[in-house]
Amino acid sequence: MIHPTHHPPIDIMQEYVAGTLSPAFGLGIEIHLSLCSQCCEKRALLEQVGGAVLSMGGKAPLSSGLQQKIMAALEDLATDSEMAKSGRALQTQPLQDGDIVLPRALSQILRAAGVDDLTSLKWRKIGGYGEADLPLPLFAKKATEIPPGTFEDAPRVRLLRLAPGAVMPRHTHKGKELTLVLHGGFKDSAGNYEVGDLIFADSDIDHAPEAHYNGPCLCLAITDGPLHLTGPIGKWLNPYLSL
Amino acid sequence: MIAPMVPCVADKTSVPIIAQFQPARDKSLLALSARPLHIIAMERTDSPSLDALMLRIRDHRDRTAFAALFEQMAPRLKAYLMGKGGGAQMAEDVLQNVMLKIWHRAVTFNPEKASATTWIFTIARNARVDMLRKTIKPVLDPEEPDLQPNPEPGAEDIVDLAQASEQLCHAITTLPDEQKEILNLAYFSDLSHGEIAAKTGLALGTVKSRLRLALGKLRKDLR
Ligand SMILES: [Zn+2]
Repeated sequence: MIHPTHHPPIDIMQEYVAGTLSPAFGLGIEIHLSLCSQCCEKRALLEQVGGAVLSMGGKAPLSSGLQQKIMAALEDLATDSEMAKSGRALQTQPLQDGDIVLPRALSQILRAAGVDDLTSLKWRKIGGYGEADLPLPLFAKKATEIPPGTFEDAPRVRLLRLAPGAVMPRHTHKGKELTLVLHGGFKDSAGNYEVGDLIFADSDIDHAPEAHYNGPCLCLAITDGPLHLTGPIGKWLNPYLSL
Repeated sequence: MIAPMVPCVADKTSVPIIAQFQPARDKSLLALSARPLHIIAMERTDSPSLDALMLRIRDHRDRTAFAALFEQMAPRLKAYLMGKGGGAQMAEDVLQNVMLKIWHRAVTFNPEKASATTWIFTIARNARVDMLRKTIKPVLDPEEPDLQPNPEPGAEDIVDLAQASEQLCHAITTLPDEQKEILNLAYFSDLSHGEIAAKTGLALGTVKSRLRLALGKLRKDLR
């Protein structure tokens, strides 16, 4: 069983539970949750707090007749248990690429988006580093979330692949970046990361992740602002990667 | 503009509530005071227990229990749905949806897994997120067992969650007002922490630290 040691911070979890986290980052949290029982417990506790806040919240007057209308509608839909179960997703075959097996949660989302083969993605490769945008339906930010002048910075959801021992170009973030290790592992100046680990970085982090030597590393990366390459090779990588 | 205060637990002592944003006290909250006050009231009905009602709905398809639950929760759910930005009509449309889900998904209610308020919160939250997301969202069903990690050994400790919810409500009433405000905004409004900071004029770090302090006091596991 996977025991991630790097978890989303509690405030990000709270935004996720409240439904105010942007859907793109929510995707990363959901996949981490599918791998991390510790955070599932945190989610349950945060939902408990949400239930308490809701049950103590204010009331808005209802239109007259609304209750009768809803009570009458209870008759319309019959078989309750079947309806409750019909929403269940079918068991998904995880996507695979050699030894790399994607988590079921991500496989399910990718298969729903028409991706049945990881090699069919458009990989941009340079040396031991490759990346591919995931063709997910565009995650729009809430209009209110977009600071003036940054409309082009829609969130990007990518797979990053590092060959054993390969180093990702040194970079900083203009926006936030969520990285989730899907296979293998990497380290940077701040720590060591294995499968299931989630790293949530704000704009002030400058790092150069290096894959472990014992195998390739595959990560899910979600960014809501362009990366800035800061290392010496960054200058010529930058246009190539269109980061 | 003191709203009526109903204490969370049986004793009828009045407790200060989040609700009273006093524009005079903090100019930055002026923008918020334009929102209907009911969105940020903090009161609570006491009986009958929502868990008991939910069990009657689940096990006996009890329409009387559903009507009682409706009376207790529907106006709060509407306020919650309006707090997330939709108008009154949209809120009622979604409310209808939520109430029907409560009825039809009652078979999945398990008081050992989540108390009724928690369970209803997740249904309402999902409905509200669906309402607001203009784009297609990830399709993960949170109840899909295949997507749940195996629980850690010892994670199955039996807790009386209904009782825990009661204690939680009480604990919320004892938080400092500034933490209550942030807690309420973080759950009840449709604002991210950054947006809360912008609206209140507080630094983002202050918003986050108040929220962390509040959560840590409510649940030591959330520290
Ligand atoms: Zn975790």
